[in-house]
Amino acid sequence: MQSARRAQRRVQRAPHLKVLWLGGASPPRCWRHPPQVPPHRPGRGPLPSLARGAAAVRRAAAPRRPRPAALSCGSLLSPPAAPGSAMGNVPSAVKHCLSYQQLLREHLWIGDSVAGALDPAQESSQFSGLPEYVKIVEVGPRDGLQNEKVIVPTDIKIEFINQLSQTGLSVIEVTSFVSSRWVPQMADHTEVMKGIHQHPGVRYPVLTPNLQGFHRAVAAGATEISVFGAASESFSKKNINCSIEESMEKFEEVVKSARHMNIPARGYVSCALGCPYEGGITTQKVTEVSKRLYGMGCYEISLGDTIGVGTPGSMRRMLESVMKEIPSSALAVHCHDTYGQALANILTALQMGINVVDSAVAGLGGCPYAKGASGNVATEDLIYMLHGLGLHTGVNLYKVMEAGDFICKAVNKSTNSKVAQASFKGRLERICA
Amino acid sequence: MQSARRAQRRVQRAPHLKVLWLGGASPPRCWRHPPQVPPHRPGRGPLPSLARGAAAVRRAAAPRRPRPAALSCGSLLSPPAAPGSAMGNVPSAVKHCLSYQQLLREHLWIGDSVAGALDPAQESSQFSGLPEYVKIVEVGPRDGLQNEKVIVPTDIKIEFINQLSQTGLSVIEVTSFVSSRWVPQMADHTEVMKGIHQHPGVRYPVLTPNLQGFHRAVAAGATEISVFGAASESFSKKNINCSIEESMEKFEEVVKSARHMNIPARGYVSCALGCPYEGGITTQKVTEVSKRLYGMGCYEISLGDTIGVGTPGSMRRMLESVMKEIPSSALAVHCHDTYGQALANILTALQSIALEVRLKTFKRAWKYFILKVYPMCSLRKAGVCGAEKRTAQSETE
Repeated sequence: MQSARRAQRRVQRAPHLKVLWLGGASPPRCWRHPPQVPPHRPGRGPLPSLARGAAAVRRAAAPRRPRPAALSCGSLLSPPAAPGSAMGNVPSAVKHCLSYQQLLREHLWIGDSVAGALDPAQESSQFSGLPEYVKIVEVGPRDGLQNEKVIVPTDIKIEFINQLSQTGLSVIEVTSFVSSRWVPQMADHTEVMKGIHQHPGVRYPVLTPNLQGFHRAVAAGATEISVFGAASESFSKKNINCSIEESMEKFEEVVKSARHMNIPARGYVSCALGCPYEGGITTQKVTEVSKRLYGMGCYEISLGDTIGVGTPGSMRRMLESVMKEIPSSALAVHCHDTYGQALANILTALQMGINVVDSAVAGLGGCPYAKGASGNVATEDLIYMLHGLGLHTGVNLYKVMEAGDFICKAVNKSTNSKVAQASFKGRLERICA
Repeated sequence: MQSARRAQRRVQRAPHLKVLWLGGASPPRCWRHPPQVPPHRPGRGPLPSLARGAAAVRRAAAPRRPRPAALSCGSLLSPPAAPGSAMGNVPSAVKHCLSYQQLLREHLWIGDSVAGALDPAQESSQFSGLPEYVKIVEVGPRDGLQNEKVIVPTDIKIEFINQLSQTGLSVIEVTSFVSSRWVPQMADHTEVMKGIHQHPGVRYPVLTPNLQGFHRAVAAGATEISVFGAASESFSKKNINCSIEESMEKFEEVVKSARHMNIPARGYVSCALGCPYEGGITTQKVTEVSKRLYGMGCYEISLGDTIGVGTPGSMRRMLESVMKEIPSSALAVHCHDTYGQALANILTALQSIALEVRLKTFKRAWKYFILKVYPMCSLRKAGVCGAEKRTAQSETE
């Protein structure tokens, strides 16, 4: 027990050495840090293992195949980059050491001759200090379908999630274990959870607002859970019928039980950039709620711009405040596109070091507070931007578009994704020909 | 004539002194630099005049009324900011001199105590090196209506443009003087141009692809024109039925005539980030076409992502290439939202342009410091300017 404690302290003090476990030892299982599952890359090899040493990592970080300039849609048809040229889940400390050239260039403006010229492909992926790998958390099946007026049949939901599992996404939020009285769209949570085919390498979190939902989720086979807090009292009361403090107490029980069962928990903070009832939300409040969720044991906190009123400036201010308390590796952003600001906000978050983004395929889920407005940012648009920036996501855009097309036909609505709208009009072939 | 030439050289060397014309002199009229018309602010006072001095400008740059945090939709209903708190069309060199604190903080990482703490509102407006004032060029009446299937009646177009003139926009592109055979939506160009109410402080450019269109535009009362080039041969041939070279020759005639009549000309470069026929476009080609248009005499070059395939990375690469040849103050971006990337591309463009300006300003300041200030320190230390020391010594002796 003492050695496990010492090991755990060693991990906390030097997280970048987390992987150097010699002599057959293995790191202690930590409920806060779920095992780093490598991104699911169907039909392609694994990422270079860190165990092979820094040389292998440097080779992986070496410049990729040069891509045709400014033709970012080339990546729509072919999977991005070759194996061995993406850095994958490398601890951020190592990644930043490897990019000292960029640091010299950007902050001290030391010229090319000293810092060494950056290869254009490498430079584009290090555009303004962006992370090299971005994890996309697909919330379409839960957050998207929950906000659609049409109740989707169970078998269509299962088929939808199975299609998403084959796109390369590494996290897909399946359903929500809430009472069917409050959220009738999610009434079939148990059937969906049991019915989907859980691909290896893909995680399937579910929303569990209370202990009852948590137990049901575990009985149905859930291996990861999420809890949904709010940074606004009014929103909390109207949405889940209790104040922030009461909701935190409920979540504390849920997350504690999850810890005992070694189930990782993810925390959401709604109304991080504005509330439909209160208006502006102070960054201190958001920081307070996020810190509380993180302290409970959530491994990641997703900061949500629930009504899409955020802009790059407010996003930056909020992230600056939250990142003083929570490490950026434990943060994610969940932007809504209600005012069309989602991609600009996401770009700002990426520039600040966040590398996990939530999105919904086809922009599923409108805004319940603005009739007719769009809701979640579309996964296709996000992937298009990330691939254009040279960032690795591991996701096949074309397959995502197919899944989006499938669910839009089922829900009988047109897609909210501009990339899907532009592509299915036949322009794709002409541009990429 | 000699003094006018000297004056013009003085303007080119020190553009930030452009407004300090003492003794009743006025700056020479320059066709490349249209007069800086202050933005139209209906019902509100004028911006603080630079002639009152730096203090007035600093007061104007002072923090605005605090707004509810993160509620950007508030600005949809109420006009933004109070009078006297916007900087307007202030020459960028002055604005950047005023923000030396930000320069020190950002580039030399000198801490708060030296640089002085920045007010949060000021800091947010200097967020990530963004420019403080952004000019929006409204192209809806021309580029927008031209691409709609429905042909809008003339009186509706005129009413639309009149409503836009009251919003505070400083540039509204009215119509396009092209043959109605090619663009039937713009067949009523002369009536629209004559029918709109031209507000003071708002500019109304029109598109004129050839000399014939230019003459018609001038006859109809146009005071500013635009020309539309392309960075892709195929697009140029399919769109205006001639190669890039032939189109440049036509535009040269148009812009030359415009210069003779003191009419400013704006240049557009289509397919700057991708072409629907050719696919990718090299940044060198875009730079070449932009440079050609700028060399002709266009005061501003608008780089257009015509099919919206650009992403922040490609936008930055293209701008870096173009900004080596054309000053960033003469550049604009025209992004299409076909793939939903427009706002992200625009944010990137703002950051790139602001970074470029800061880089230039910092380099200039650093050069001045190294050449003028630092040698003085060394000389004093070395005792070369020791006249005072020698006098002091002789006094003590």
